[in-house]
Amino acid sequence: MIARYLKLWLKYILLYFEKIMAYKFHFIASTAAALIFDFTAVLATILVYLNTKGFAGWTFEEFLLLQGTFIFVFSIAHTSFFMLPSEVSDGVRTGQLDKYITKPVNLLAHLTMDSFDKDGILPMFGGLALVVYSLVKLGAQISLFQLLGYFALIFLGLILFYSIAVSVSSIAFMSVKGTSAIAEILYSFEGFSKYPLPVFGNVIAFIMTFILPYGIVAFYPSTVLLNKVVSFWPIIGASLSTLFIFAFSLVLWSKLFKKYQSAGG
Amino acid sequence: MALQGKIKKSKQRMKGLSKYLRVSKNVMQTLSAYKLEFLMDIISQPLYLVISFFLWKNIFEFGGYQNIVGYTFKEMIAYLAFQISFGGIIISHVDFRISEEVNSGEIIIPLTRPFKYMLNHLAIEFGITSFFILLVDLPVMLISILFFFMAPKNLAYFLLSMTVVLLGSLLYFMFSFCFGLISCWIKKYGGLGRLKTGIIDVLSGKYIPLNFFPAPVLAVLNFLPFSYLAFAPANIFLGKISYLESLCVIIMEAIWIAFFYVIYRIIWKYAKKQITGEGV
Repeated sequence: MIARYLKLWLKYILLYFEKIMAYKFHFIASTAAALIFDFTAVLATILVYLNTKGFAGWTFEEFLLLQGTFIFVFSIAHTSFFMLPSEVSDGVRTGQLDKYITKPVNLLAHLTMDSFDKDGILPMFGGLALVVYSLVKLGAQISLFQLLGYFALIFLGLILFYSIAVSVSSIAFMSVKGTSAIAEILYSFEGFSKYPLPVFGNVIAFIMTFILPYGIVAFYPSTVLLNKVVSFWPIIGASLSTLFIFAFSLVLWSKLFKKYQSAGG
Repeated sequence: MALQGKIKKSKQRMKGLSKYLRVSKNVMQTLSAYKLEFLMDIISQPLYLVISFFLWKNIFEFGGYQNIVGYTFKEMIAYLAFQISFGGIIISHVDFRISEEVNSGEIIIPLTRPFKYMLNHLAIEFGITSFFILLVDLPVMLISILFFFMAPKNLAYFLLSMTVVLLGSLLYFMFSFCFGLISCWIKKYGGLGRLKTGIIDVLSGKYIPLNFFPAPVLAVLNFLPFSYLAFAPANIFLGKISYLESLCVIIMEAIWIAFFYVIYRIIWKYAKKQITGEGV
């Protein structure tokens, strides 16, 4: 079954590129735009470290690694499913959603496949390059355990982003208008995942670990890779919290979808 | 007779102005249908300031700095709060609206009516900006004043910076308008438009004061028109530059606006010929 879904996804991606290649100039310009938006924070970091000692407990390269990790995770999410909420709310508004419902493929999986966006591809490699550059510059010795931990946490970070996208999309079944408003609020919290959590003080760090675990996107993976782990409890807590949010989003999706009635039936 | 003629002429001009104001009013009415979505900006924008607050606090405390490149901690936060509060007034998305009109062919509607095409768009821009000032910017300004140290140095600097904001908004509009006319030649404008916005955000000093750049880069940035869209107004507001320099900023803004007006006249002559639509 997984093979079938993968094949379908590949088809969607190919179709998407065929569509976008009709506008080659637009393709180049919007990729460059995404790159600039994602790397503005890196430029700010460079400027800050040029003029100051920077952040407490983080050298320039370590901080670049943190930001590279964020860009890497964020761009994968951007490429593969960030368009999901707008896909769903457009589908509800125009009635296009029926096209998916009548097909013998899981609705959520199907919609996710159709939310591919090319803008994240280049920043994704950029983020990875930044991580590798910092590691080389730091001359870090990394054990296999650290590497596995790093990628496991990044994967959980992706699940967190996906859960948020699914939750916001579910709301589209109830109100088309509210979707983008709620999405904006949730996405503006993302700022907390770009920086070391201790910077924000104990209260916010606690919230961003156990309640809305944005720390798992870049901060905790980076601490694992950089040997900065103080205690494993926050990492375990954030992982569990992420899984809980994921389960919650799936339940929310199926509950609200049952209430959905398309125009004309 | 001469006087009567003059009165008649000014009445006509009033009529001309009121037809543009009607455009602005219509835009505001359309926007008010989507109030809820915009209201969320009142929460999401200050959240950015909260994050910045903690980041800069950490940088200042860790290094034990009194000031960094001339900004104290409070001034730095106030600088960013100013960008959040007034950035929306200055920015202009007229280029995206032009490209939509070109793609859908709607562009011929304002062209066949007794409107100047640019003034029509200026009226739309005015409507949108006024709407956002009332709905989003004023509450955000209040939050900035109460929690993020945003306060003008004195009344004179306040008035000067408001003048610079106003001219800056016109400058951004003129630049975006010229840039948006490119969409008459290319099939899809969105990517280019976002690229333009991203570059201006960085070069205007919206996220970090331009003094952080190395001196040679700063010299180039000061020469470009973008510093007048974020860096200069905030610095005048905070009283970081002298009155004389502030006046220079105003003059430079006026020169750049005139420059882009000339560019617009030249491009528009050719762009008009590119426009196609049903029945054209």
